[in-house]
Amino acid sequence: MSETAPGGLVRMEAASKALISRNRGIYNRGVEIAEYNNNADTEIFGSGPSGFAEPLSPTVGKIDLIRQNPGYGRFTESERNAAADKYLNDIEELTDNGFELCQAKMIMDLREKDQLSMAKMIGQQVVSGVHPVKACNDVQKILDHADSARVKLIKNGGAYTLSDYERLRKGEKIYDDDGNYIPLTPTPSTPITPTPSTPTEPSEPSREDAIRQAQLYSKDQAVEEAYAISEYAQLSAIRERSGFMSARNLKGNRAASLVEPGLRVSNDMVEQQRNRLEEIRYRNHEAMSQRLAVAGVEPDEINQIMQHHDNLFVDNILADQTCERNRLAVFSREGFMGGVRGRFYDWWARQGGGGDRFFSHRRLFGTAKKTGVMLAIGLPAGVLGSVFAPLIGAGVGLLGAVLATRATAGVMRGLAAAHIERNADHTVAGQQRARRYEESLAHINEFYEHPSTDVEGRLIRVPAVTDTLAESTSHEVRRNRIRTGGSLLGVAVGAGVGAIGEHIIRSVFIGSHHVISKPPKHSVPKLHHHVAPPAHKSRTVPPAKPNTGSKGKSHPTSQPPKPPVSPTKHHLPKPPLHHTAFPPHHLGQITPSHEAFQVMHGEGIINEINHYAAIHGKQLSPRRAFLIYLKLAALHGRNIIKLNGNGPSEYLIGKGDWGLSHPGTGHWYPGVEADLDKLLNSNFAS
Amino acid sequence: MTDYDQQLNDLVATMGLPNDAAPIMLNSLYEILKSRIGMRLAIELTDQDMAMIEPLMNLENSDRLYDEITAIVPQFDEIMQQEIDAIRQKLIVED
Repeated sequence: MSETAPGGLVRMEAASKALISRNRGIYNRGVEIAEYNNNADTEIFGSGPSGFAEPLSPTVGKIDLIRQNPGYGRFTESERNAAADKYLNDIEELTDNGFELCQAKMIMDLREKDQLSMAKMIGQQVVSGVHPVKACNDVQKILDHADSARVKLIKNGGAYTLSDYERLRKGEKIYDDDGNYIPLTPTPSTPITPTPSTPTEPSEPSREDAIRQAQLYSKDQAVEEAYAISEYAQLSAIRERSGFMSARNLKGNRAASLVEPGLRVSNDMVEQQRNRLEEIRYRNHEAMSQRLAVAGVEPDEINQIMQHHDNLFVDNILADQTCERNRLAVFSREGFMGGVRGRFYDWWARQGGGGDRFFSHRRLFGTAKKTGVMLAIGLPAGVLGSVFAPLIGAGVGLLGAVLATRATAGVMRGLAAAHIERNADHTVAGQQRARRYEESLAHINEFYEHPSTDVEGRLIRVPAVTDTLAESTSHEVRRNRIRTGGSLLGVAVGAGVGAIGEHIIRSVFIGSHHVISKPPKHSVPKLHHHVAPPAHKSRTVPPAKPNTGSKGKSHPTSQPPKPPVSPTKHHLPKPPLHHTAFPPHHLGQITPSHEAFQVMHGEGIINEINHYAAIHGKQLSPRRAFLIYLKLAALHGRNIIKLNGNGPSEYLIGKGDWGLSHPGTGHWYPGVEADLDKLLNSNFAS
Repeated sequence: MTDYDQQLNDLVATMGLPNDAAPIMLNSLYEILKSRIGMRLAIELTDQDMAMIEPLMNLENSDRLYDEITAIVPQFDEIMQQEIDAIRQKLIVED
């Protein structure tokens, strides 16, 4: 039995090393330390199949706990095993360095406690006004420093128990000049002080541990929830559009031709999926609540934590719905709306990026912005993504629970009703859906393996499913830009990131440039920055109205504005080189060139940044180029390159990456190149 | 022109939202309004109107959108007001 005991070999090695270490003359505590080591051995490896007689109630060791308990923040069995192996390795490394097993266990316990405190410490700093990224870095430095000092103190001071360690920290002597241990109490038979993670351990770490664990989803849970959200978003978006169909009062045969057999979506279907989604959410969150309660977390704090998770949950629904809606809008453009009307709506939705800017900037709504409410715009508005505008009827209850505060259910219902009345019906091919799900799973897997960070190292990731939605859509209708794509950059993933990650993400996006419903400042009237204005640009008065009625208008005599034609006569590079029109700067300081360059087929913004850097003697990794793009996007908006020709220049191709819609001549928007140069000249590019 | 911004602000103000929720609500109202107007135009405009608007679609983020639209759709202000009224109707606080 002992031969197959998990960790048995490691344990024996550790015990041997500990024995050797112990014999190096640790004063007069040999027996005591041996007892500590035995305790630590049990705590690490358990009292199960050890080769000795098993107790009636075997103790589960830390290693097994990590392997078995999904609450340790690991999402699959292999990941849990990897975490357990790492724990073992760390123990081994410590004993290799001369620590007793009990000391190694104590150090590991203290490190774990540090990790549990990390989120709280970061949170405290963020609340006090420190930037989340800085807070995260600072806290990490503090903890690293503390660990280093702690290890040194334990080793040099000869601490074998937590009590020893605490005494040393207070500056007490625990050994006299002759090397004899000074017990805490005068009686030499003082019971052995338990090592840190014995059952008598103070409740604080277990409570924090429970909070952390309660906030973690298993990967299965994340996948289940993501799929349910995706399904719901799709069904609701399709159903949402049915109102538009009826509003248009389309002829029966025309309407029927637009709905693929077997894929009609009824209210019942939406309701059913909503219930399922609610059920999943309830189940996951109920489990969290219970664990939090068991850990002694106060009800108020539980509510806070649950609201936080609800926010994330709703974020994902909103993002998926918005994306799905836009996908359907793209489909509309392509098909059932008969062309121009679909294109119109698609174009209309893209104008201004949404929100107040659309109206105010275009003077559609006058000047306004005088009230306190408007002044608040730009504050934490991004918390809930593109807010609840896209939310349709079925989700109102859920959102109400999250956002309600003093906004009443009536407002929520009203909002939903206000939005759903005019929409269109459409349906999506089942095959495409299935494929999307497969891609979604791949994205989820990828996320768990490689969480993305933004330009400042903050965790950032679009929801896996939404990401795929955007990507698949852009593939299917290549030239259509998905309006919400830019917004999706700002949507933090909910499930699976973990308490710390979620905290950071949430903190980061509050007031950040990636705020979803707040488009970047400089993203609007870019069309004419570099190009010759259309002939009637200076016209401030609308052209003569041919007819005052809505019917039977004639076309205006003046031509509507034409898209800009290639405005530059700069020399363009010969294929396959790019950017050769830029002055041939090499090493050294880069100065802006403001020249046009050639975008080749299939290239994206990241490519262009890389080309630009290469021409200026800088070598960037794709990741670094991407981070530079994020930085530029934060400064200038996601559209940093203007391509000459019709249509938008960029479209989302997934995972926050933006493609260029067509090859041809392009140039950076004003200011972009200068900032790009600065970034390339700074340490940021290294 | 009626101050539409002010109307929406007032609408949000009557909801008694906390400070951090008010801008979210306001932004959502703008989005909803934009969506509704876009839908309504797509529904109600005649083919001829659409033919006139179509060239505008080559423009992205035009500063002249209002001018262009009102030139083709003289009742645009009316539509906006109607849609704001419709939203207001929907946002009656029930409890």
